[in-house]
Amino acid sequence: MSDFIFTRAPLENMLLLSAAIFCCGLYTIITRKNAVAILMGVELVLNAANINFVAFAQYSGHGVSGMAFAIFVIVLAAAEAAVALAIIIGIYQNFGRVDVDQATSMKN
Amino acid sequence: MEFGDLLLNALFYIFAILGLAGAVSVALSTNIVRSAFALLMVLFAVAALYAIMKADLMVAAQVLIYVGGILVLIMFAIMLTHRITDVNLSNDSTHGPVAVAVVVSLLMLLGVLILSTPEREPVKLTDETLAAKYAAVGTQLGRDAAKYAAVGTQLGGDSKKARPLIEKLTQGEPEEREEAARSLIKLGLGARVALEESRALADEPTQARIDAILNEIGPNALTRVLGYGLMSAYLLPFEVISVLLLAALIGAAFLARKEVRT
Repeated sequence: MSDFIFTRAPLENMLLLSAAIFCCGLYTIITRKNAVAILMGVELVLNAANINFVAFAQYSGHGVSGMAFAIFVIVLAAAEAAVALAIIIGIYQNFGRVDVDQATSMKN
Repeated sequence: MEFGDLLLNALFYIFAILGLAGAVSVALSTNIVRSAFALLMVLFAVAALYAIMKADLMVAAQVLIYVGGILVLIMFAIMLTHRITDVNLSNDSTHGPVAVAVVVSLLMLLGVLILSTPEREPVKLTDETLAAKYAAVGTQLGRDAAKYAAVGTQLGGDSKKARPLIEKLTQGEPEEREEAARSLIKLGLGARVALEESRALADEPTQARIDAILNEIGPNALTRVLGYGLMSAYLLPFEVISVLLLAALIGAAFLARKEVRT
């Protein structure tokens, strides 16, 4: 059987996959109107960065700082998701909808 | 290619396709609840990728915190920010050619960057290479060797320091052997690699002794190394992040309070 898909180093596969997930997350952030959907895009971007960190930490000989950083990224994502969702629920209670195109009352 | 490598590659492709399909669903789905469940699939696929990369603590952290915390919060927010009479939880998006162009060009740039870096020796993720890597962590920690010597040996750093002690352990006088054993245990994780290497060359009673010391030192698992690391080398980010979590807690509780209208 042809070996071509298995001859590449797995590290590059991981990095390509993380780049693809990053771009999907970026597309979600750019095009979505619902604030919660934008937050889901941010989570996709953070997960892609985490895959990169863990891949470099495991596939190189240079220790576990990549993995410590990845744990800190997970903690930061949790804190940021909590605060962002509190803000979004506050916006819903004040405006009645979470459409980011229509939340323009501070614009003059 | 041995069967283990083949299986790992096949598993990687399966979970990569699942993760990518989920990510595309999050971006393009018209129903926001479907987007949330697609995000669930992506998070589980990423956890499976961590398992393929032999990062066991990250699998647990990902599933517990991301799926069990963040995704549940997102579902709460979705259900709380739509009117109860919405039959179709709508998820509008402005698909424009500019957005597609930006994203596709970024993807091509990243692809070219990744594929054009020169070949390096592929690292096989066996247990031996992981053990040697964890042993080398301490030596990378700082330029100030004296300051980080204690930290480094805790994290598994100078297995070089362990070698003369192991020589004393295997060939010295009885009192020297006792003292060498005690020093090796104090050296901790860093001695582990050197001990494992010399175990093969030692005679029977020394092998038993080395086994006793290895039992006392403990395994070279990622959780253990990261646990030591968070308390020694990465202590500053750890404390800062606990302050940040406190701030997030207070902030979220303040933002979500009910206004008292007088």
